Amino acid sequence: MAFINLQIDTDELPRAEDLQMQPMAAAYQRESLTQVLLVFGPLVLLSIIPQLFPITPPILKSLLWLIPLGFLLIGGLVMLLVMKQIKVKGYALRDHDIAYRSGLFWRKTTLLLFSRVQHVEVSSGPLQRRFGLASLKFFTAGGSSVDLKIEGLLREDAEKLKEFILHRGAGGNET
Amino acid sequence: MKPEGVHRWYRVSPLAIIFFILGIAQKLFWQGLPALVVMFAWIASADDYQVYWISRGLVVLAVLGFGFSVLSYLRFRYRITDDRVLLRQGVLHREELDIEFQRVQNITIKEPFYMRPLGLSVLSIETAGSREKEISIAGIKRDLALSLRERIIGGARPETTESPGQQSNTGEARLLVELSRRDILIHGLTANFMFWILIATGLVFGSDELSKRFFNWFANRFAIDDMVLYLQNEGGTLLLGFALFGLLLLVLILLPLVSIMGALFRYDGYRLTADGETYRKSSGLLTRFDDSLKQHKIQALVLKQNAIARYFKRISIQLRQTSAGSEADSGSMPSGTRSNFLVPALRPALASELSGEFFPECRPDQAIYTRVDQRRFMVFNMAVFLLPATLVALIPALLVSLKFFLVIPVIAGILYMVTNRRWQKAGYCVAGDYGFVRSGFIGTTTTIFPLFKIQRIDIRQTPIQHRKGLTHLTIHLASHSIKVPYMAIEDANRFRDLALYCAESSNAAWY
Repeated sequence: MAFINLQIDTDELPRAEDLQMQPMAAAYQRESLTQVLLVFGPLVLLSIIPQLFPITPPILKSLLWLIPLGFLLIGGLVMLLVMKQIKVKGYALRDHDIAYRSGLFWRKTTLLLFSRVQHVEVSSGPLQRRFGLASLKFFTAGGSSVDLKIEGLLREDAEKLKEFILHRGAGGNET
Repeated sequence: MKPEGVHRWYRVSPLAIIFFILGIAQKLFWQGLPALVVMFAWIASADDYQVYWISRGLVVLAVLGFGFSVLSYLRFRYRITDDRVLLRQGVLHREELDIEFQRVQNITIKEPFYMRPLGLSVLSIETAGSREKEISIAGIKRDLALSLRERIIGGARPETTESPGQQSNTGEARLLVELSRRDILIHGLTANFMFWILIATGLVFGSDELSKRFFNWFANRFAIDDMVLYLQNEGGTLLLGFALFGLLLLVLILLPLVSIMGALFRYDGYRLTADGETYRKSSGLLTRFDDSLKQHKIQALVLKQNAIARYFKRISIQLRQTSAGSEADSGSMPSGTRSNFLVPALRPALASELSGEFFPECRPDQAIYTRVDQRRFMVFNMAVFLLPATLVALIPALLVSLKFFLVIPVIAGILYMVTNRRWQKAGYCVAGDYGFVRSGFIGTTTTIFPLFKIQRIDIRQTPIQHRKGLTHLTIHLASHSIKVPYMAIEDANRFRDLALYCAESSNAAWY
């Protein structure tokens, strides 16, 4: 086989940073908020319970209101952060690879080649199922755990993506 | 295709019993290391009666181990068909393994000293995939093992044999590296450098309860108390100090010796040859190790030179292959040598030449490295150490004397020099089809990988880095991951685009 070594103009290469990221499903926001509610709701309710009983110094009783208030405040903050975090998340498909961006403070973009994917897993927990959501996990060689996990996809989208990527990957593997 | 019945189940040589015994002993040792230490301490504090029972217990354990090994041998059967190896093994947990030649990652032939006189060997097969496992067929004829390896590796990739005359083995192997005893001694000195430093410091500073008990026991057995008293009476404290110092020196000299011995046993008579695109290395003093590796299986070269190696002007090259599963999966045994084809103690010129042999057209000595951002690299790497150091210095400074604050500038000065040095070493480069990443302090570690073999690329930014246009770039290979810190974002993007382009436009298989 003749050896061909063409010059590559690196300015002309397809640029991964210009990709238009597709936001996650709208249901993902609702699911994440529900998750926060499920954690902080019971905490707030539980910390109100002492108010039902007579507590001798009235000042202590009103001071105890600070606990549910604090939980509400923290819960609200977490909600805000979760919403912002979801807004940052996004993915984009190209012919040969998938890009995934995440991270509110530490912004991370992963690019994964279809031809390197060894297997793909679609999984969904009970809460995710309620909202019709699923997570997509990619495994490549060498990595011991999940190499890329995309949360907050609609179940049918996740399945479609999985089929598409496996199909692409198999095509890339055939020499 | 022969009918299945032709390939029957074979049994291995009874010498395999020794192999099984050693295997059990090794497993017991590594998995029971903490228990062993405790047991030592227990023996140290035990009276004669208990020692009696402990020794009986050990005998029973040994007999059990021997019986288990014999049973393992009796249960062990192997069978080779046209495209797979089948194994039956296990005493309590019986299993039947079925390994396709295609999935075989690496084959090592070991000739342990107790098998060599009879021309027997141990064939170890490493497979890739999620169900990672290394299997061994101990006690088969060496010739059979060699021909089996030829068949398995030869049959592993039928799709690459498009031009048989050009690619297939020519029969005569080219000698690439032959190491002398001297080279191996140097490798022994440079190899487990950090390891014996750690042991030495551990011996000096380690003083927890267990080691105290152990030393007490040791001292009692050899009447060291008397010796110390005698020395002190005869020559005073000075002589005692000398004796202690001498002992310490002895340990410090002994440790490298142990390391050298290890290197000698493992690498004596090291020869690396190339036959077509197959590399073979054989080495070993008592037990001979015979490894082979196909060129296309190399995922990355790691050129290493630590401080001592730098003094001797030697470089070692690791040929990294696809790592099978996580480190934790391979049990509690040290997995340093797994999937790790090492060419030790090379002179720089030869190391460079060899890199070009493993990766055609690759010239590490001509790589021109781009440095990373100095300010962020320095500030962050120093802060990581300086902040805790300051906090620690705060306590004695406030409690005892404010003079303790003087420690901080001293530490900062040392840190500055160390970090600056590390910054000078940190760099990356793209030359031809290869990416280079360099790091180090006194020594240097250079990783070279074909750009098209990447699996995945991450770009990660903190908010500050984002504002300053910097980023961490992590390149994930099938063998390991390499991180380039504080890289200019344009460069990182370009690196990523180029590597992706190389990987996506190439039809060559990465595995």
